[in-house]
Amino acid sequence: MKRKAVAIFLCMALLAGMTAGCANTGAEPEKEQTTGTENAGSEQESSSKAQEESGGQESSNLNAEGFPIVNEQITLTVYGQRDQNQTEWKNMLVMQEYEKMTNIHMDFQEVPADGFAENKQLLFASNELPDVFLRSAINQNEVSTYGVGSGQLMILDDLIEEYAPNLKKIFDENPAMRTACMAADGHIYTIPFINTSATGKMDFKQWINTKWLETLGMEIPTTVEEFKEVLIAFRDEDPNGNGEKDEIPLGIREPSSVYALGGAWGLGHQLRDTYDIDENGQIHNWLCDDKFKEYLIYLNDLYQEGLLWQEYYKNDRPAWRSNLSGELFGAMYMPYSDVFLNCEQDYSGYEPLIGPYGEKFWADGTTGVETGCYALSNTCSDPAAAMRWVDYFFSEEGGLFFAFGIEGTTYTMDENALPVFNDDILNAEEGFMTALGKINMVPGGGFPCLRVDETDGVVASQRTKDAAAILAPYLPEVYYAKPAVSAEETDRVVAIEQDLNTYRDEAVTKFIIGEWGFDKWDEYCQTLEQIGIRELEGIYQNAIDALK
Amino acid sequence: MQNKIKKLGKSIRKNIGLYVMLAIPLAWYIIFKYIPMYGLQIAFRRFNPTLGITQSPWVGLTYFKQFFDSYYFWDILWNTVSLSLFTMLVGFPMPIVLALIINEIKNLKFKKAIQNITYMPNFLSVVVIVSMLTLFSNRDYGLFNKITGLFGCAPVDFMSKPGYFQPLYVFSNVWQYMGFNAIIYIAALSGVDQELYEAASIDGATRMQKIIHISLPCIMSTIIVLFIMRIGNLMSVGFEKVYLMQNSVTLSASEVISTFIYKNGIQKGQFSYSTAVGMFNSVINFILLVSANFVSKKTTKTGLW
Repeated sequence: MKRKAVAIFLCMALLAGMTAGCANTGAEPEKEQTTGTENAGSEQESSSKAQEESGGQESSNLNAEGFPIVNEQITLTVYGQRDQNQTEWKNMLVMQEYEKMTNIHMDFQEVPADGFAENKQLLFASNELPDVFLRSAINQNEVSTYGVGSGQLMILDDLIEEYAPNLKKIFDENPAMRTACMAADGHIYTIPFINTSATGKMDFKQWINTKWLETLGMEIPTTVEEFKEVLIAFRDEDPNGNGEKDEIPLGIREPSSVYALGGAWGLGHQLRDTYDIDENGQIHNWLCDDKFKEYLIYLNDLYQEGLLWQEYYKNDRPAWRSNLSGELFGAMYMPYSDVFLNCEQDYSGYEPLIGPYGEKFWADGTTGVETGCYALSNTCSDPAAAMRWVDYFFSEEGGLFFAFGIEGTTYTMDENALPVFNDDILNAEEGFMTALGKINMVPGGGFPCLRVDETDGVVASQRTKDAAAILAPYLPEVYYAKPAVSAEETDRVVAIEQDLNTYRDEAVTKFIIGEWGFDKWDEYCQTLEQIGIRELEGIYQNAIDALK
Repeated sequence: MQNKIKKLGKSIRKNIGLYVMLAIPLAWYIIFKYIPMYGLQIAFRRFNPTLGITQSPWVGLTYFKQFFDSYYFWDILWNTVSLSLFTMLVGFPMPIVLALIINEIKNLKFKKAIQNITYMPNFLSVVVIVSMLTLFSNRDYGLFNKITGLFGCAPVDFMSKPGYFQPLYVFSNVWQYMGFNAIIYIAALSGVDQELYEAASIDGATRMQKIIHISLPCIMSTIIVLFIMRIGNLMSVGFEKVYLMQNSVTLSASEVISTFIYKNGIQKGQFSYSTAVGMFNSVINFILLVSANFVSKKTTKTGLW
């Protein structure tokens, strides 16, 4: 009898423990919801309220100018994505040094890049927000949803006006940069990374193996036909001289990079996508155009001939890297030479190839503005201090400090007054990028700061700079970023782009690798129309017109 | 009525220990399976995190419509159904056959060895299985191409051909789970009365006849119950394996509802939309389960309830 009683007691205890555990987790979201509803009211209201609060602190704690930013140490929670090359942010030299200067302690809660996308969405959905989003890659659709829509991101217009003199100055001098950062409601929700250096004006640069060319006694190709001849020679004549046919004439990294050569066919890369914009500001998606078909026929030919990397569509980055460091690619497209430093001297940049219609054009331009790098939540405990914290990196001095660290300790100025890293960093055993990742967040990019020609050397070697300089004259005169659209239209954009991009990636890959013949072209165009390619074009057209 | 309640109360008092034990799984189901269902309402709302689940504005069937209107709707639906059916048609009978074979082995050591070897792959992680598949199907040095090469076939990159996606998925599944799924049938077979076999032997039945007329009918009810349960899960193909195996070339054959939900809902933050898609999936599962059970009860008199 006694044993039975004990058993019953244990069961009861187990049951109680279980429900108690649940009660806690069950109650929490409800509490959040009530605070959530309070905050939700109006976007403007909550941000101005937050400013009032900080205004109260200002008199006692915040310094309007200079360092430290606050007299008494404050702590801000920071959420963000850590690149694999970066050390833990709290151990990062620049971050540690900056904490001493500003008196603001950043409580970093960074998430590895793997699985970051899910983590970010769940963070917003649970509405347990940090003070600051850093390196969170908040894209335009997310700004529409979580900024304009749910008001979880704070409107920064007034804060920039008041507490970010450096950024304000850049925006005043380049109004296009300000509009690039605006959401559909005309407000700014995120602070960008701004790159005004020459190498930052384009993404991909084109490279060709000049050592192989020399071995074969060939010239740098100038037209697409010559290009093919060179690739054939790379394939057949064993330019690396190891007696094996292991050369890969043309290295394209992944399905999304097959458009790099499209400029020769006059295919633009406006909105960082498959768009052209004419002088009247009329946008056009060229996925169904005949010239794109011809471009695909050319690539299909290269693929069938074994000139294009046969595995390119598998998104296999490790394989790509090992080919790169093994110097197996003849020609390729890369933004910077940092991943093939070991054989960098064998490659050099060259002018855009002349296409079948005599076009000489490098399409892969950028606005120099990468939005979504830094944002404040509507529950940020001290928006003014947070804004002052980030603004320093938009000054020349701050930009240099972020990119290179401390003069004497990590870098020195050379005879041209350009910063150069110390040898122990440049030739670090663990690799330059890993060594750099202990100093700052340059590896992986996406940090809110200003990069100019003087500080560009942190990622761009002299060869990269040269390669960029050769291509620069052939860039489009005006470059547009993808415009923000209203919250209702965002639903449409996401729905269409989801289907469109999936179908495009699949179809383009199949055309190139020969899985589909070009008799399927009409069917392909019809499908794109059906998915809504023109409706999407119309939405973007309206959004671009609205910016003017 | 009152009498009934009184009776129940009395029986509870008498067997309090049993009822407390029953309460634990019951509470588990209510708390973890039924209460979270209130979140399903966001399929009909435009979910806004600051307003929360219960305050977001109603939008009716907008998200269902968006899914049905999507260009990929029929593809995804077809892929999900065909992959599941294929997996079931091939994957369901295999463990039964294996169990019958193992049951016929008289040498105990050999029997145990076979059983162990066939169920070992069950413990491999899906990631490992998919890496193995990738290596095996490589065009230049893969095992599959080495074998087909012996018969003079041209090398094929199996992972990049939509047509090979389903066979690769299904047969690797059979290989991995066959042994483990056979355990339950082996257990059922060991419960079969030996006298039946003896009687059959006296009547001069061959081995094959014994299998067909004794072993199979004796485990039929187990087979049917497992079959109905499988049908209830028909639309829920394993997410991880499909997701790991797919690439942009095979998407036309490999995009299924669960991977679609993951990409749209979790990665792109369209929670309302993906809840609607998930709900659609569950409703179809539910309908299939109920109808399968109905048919089974009509025809074989065995059913889940």
